[in-house]
Amino acid sequence: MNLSYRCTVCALSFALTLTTFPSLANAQDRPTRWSRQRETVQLDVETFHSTQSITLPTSQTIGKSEFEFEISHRFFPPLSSGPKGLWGLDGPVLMRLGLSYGITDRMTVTLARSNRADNIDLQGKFRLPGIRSENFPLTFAVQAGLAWNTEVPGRVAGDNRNIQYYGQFIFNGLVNDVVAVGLVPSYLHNVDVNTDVSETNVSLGGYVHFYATEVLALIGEWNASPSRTGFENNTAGLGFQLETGGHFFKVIVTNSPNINPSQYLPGTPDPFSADNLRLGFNITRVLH
Amino acid sequence: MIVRTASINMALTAVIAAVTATPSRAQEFHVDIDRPNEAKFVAETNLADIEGTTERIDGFAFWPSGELIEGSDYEGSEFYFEVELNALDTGINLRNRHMRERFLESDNFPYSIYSGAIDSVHTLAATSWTVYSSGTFTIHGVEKPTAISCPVSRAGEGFHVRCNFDVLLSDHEIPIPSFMGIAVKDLVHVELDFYLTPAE
Repeated sequence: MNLSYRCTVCALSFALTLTTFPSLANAQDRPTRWSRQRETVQLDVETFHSTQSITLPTSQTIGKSEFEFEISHRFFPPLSSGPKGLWGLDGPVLMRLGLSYGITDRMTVTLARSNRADNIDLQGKFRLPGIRSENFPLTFAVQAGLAWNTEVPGRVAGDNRNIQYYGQFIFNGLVNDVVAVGLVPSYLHNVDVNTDVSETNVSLGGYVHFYATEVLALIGEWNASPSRTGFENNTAGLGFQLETGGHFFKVIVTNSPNINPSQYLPGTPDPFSADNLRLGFNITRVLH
Repeated sequence: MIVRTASINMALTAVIAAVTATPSRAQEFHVDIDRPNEAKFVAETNLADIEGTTERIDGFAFWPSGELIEGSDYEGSEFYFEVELNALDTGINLRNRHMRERFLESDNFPYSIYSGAIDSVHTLAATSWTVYSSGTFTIHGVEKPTAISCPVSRAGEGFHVRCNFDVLLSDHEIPIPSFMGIAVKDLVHVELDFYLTPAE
């Protein structure tokens, strides 16, 4: 009787305690209710590191609210001018100055100027959603621009014939994180502002970047275009690219001294041969 | 005999009730992802400081009492906090990419983690404390025993936690970023600012 009563009272007391103070039961329990509360960040698909190959654009855009400053040179005298012309470095030089702004992470606008015909180039690039893949991700973009040649001999700056416009599709892929390839079909209206005829031009560009190390890439580019007077040859370039967390340095040789899109897309007078190669460089810096 | 047994049991009940009444209950807290949390690092270079931030902190803290009381025993406490490295933003996309791919290798090691236990608590004011903890800090897949003290203050039903500590990149086998004479210093300062809310 006593034993039974004692057990009953004990059990009731303990049960009452647990009911009133439930924490006693789980005070030392390992937490089990936590689990990661969000999906992991999904980064955009990226193929090329830089926003440009040599002169052709890549699908890469700068980030929202970022600026990218560019200064590019193409030394007019060819390398074959030798030490007398310091292999072309004595100049004269064709120069491009540009400033890009990221309206969004996918949309970049660029205003640039080349001293050839004082070509002022306003362009916009929009990066489309890419295709994710372990070994061969693909990225796409479209670019369109308007060029105003403000110094054409025998014509006032505001003449309609000084205006050119162009559009480009950009297809990029990355093979095993090492070799990036691109194709860029381009359309250009008003090929030669020095004539009185507005011709159109369709060209197909291609480029390859081989990422030899994390900061060094070997780069090559060509742009095939129908031959016409003054633009008899396709443009091509070879060189290397160094990159930091904010800069790209490209040093190249090319058969085209032109830098702005409306000027290099139609082609160049000189073939890609040892006698006609010119030194050039592009430097870009991303600012925030 | 019956009276004696009943007295013993009543006393036992009273003792248990007293022990469990203060503090009130065991508690698990989760990072409140709806609050303005921030993880930040500051890396010095010989040119300028580089800052990276993200609001993507997650994790939990658990200790038996659910209250911060100086002198209490925090045996059985546990915490785990993680920062998602792919979300770190230094202000320049290109630099973010370099940081992720070349230095943090965040494809392989996507989280920086501090996990461990509370050692002790020092009361600063009625609703603020310094919490002393020890555990393991992990980044780049390399663990390092670490002790951190963090100011903590009451924030509604939960707590507001702010931690500052330094990390040596070399301790975690992270390559020192450098280019053309500009190098990041080995010592990187880390700041965590986040809110804990009681688990539902």
